[in-house]
Amino acid sequence: MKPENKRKKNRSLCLKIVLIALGDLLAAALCVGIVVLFHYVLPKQYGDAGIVIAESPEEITDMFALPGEEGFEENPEAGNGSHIEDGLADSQGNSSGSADSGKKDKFNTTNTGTSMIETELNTEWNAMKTTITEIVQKRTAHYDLTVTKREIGENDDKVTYFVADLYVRNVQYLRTAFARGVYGKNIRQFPDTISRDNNALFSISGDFYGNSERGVVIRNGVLYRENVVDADICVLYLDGTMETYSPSAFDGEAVLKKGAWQAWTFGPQLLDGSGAVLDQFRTTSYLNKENPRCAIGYVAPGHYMLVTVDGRDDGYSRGVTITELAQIMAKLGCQTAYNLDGGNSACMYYENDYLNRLSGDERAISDIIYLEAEE
Amino acid sequence: MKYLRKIKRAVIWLLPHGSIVLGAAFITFWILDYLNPMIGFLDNAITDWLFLAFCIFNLLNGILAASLVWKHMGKKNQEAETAEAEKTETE
Repeated sequence: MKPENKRKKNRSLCLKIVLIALGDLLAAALCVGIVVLFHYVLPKQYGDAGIVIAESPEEITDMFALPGEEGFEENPEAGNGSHIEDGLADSQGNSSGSADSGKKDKFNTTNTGTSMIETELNTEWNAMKTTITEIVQKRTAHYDLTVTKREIGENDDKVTYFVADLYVRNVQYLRTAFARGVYGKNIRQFPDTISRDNNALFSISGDFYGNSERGVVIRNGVLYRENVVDADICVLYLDGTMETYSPSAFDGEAVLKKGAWQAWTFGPQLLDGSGAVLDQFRTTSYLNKENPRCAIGYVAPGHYMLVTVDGRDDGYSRGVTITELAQIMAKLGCQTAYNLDGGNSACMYYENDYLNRLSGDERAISDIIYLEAEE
Repeated sequence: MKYLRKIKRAVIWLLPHGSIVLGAAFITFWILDYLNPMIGFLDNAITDWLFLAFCIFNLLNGILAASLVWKHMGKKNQEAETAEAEKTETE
């Protein structure tokens, strides 16, 4: 064969190979696109109305006193609010049992082995002063809410966060709401819209349950979903206590028996149940970067901290790592704390406006945690 | 018969490409899942079925590759035997 013809043949062969490879890549991109479309974009309403596990009465009984009232007493429960491993003994010395004991009766478990990352405390904060400005004070018949804006650090290292210090007479005043009032997948609304639709005085973003088909979802005493996945779970009980669980330590039957009011699946859990920052977090090093964050913390029955940290805005607030968030919650006096959806979702809403500075465009989310407006 | 041969050729052509497409798709899902595990790109009903398809494609590819290798080895052995027989004859 003449060299020229051989060269032509080789060239056309190369072209064929490139075209075929491009075709494969396009097909792969199409495949990914279709999955993203059906899994992440298209809304899907679940027909399941959920199982009512705790009644939401018209008249809610008062269980706790508010600050300044007779009978008010801070009574933090130490040592049993965070459940980390199988067989972990709680503060009464009772073992929570092995991984297989009864947990799979009602709650299905899938474990994909998310990594654990080590704690790296920000020790520089110990020497820094936090500037605190009170921006909201609201007292009603059923709750006492104080929101403060706090700033620590300077210039590019500055962190700005908002702390909602909340006392409620009954945990049932701390409610959650779905986007569009509907339980489903990829159903989203802007947080201020969800808040207005539910007559919320105050709200923060939830756990974005609608992003996934799995995870434990209990809202306002209704059990919607019961798949335990590889993420920590936070449960708020009717007795006012809040506990966090690793997937292997979560006992669904026990949780339902104790009387769950809310349950979120996002995480990680931040504190060890007695106010100390955990040694490891169930997250990845990629997600542990400085970001806007939201968290809920438990101080005592009827006393909670809801925190929103701004970020991605150097000079105003750089954001925080998971460890730094845990340090903030520990410093606020929380015994147990839990990370909620952050990033662009992180928001704190009060009376028709956002208290915090959103990092980027307002993001539509699946759910909020809120307080209803009262006289 | 011709028709069957055409189908057989098409299947043999499609099988490796199916594996490539699904393999590339799963690598993408793995990366997305690493960046945001809560969305669960690897842990949902759709990717469960895709994974099954991926396994089937790979299984069939493996069988096809093994049979081609077997055929190729058989052919080589036969050629070697023929060459040796010819050599013996000449001698």
